[in-house]
Amino acid sequence: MSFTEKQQWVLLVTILGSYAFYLQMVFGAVEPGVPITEVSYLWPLIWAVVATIVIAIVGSILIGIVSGLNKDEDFESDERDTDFDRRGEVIGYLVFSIAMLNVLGLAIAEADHFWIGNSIYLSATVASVVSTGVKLFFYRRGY
Amino acid sequence: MAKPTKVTNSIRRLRFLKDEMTQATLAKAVGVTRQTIVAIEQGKYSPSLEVAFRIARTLDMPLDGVFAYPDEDFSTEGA
Repeated sequence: MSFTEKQQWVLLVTILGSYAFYLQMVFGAVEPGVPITEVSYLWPLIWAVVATIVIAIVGSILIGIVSGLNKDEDFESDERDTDFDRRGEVIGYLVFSIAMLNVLGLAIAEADHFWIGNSIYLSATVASVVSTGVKLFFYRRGY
Repeated sequence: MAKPTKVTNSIRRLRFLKDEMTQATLAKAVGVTRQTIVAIEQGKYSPSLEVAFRIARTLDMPLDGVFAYPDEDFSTEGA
């Protein structure tokens, strides 16, 4: 498994983990009889996003250190990595663009900020998971 | 309409004929990762024309001596 592929696995697990953390924080704060839109989602959202970035970076560094123990490990990316990355990003962008229509609909309907903010975060998460998943699919199954 | 096909190759056989060259050595000479050579050999990745030429040159072979595109996959209809 190439270093770049390992990085993608770390990113996928991090994205899913931080979103699960976010959902736990928000839904865990729901109290009976209180509308969910009253739950403070801002800080959990900021924490989840920051955690995603930090864990992805730290995870990448740790993988680099562990991989560095193997003398044959290749750290540089090549045209295959670039190709898979480009294809994954294009599909991820497409998913994000379509998901944004839902956010636009919520804004037009003047929905609560809670739903708009959560829709944006969900859209970004789904797009990232699809993008990373597509790249990993190409690494595993070939293209 | 031509159906999508995959380019086949003889890299593995040619490596052994060339002093049992390792995948890592070939990868270094070509300028790609060893995993990419593995993927190309297994038919999981079709390299760019530039990398294909570099592989052929490293193995001292013409391009079509390393890579092949099966005849039955060509479509001359409408040509």
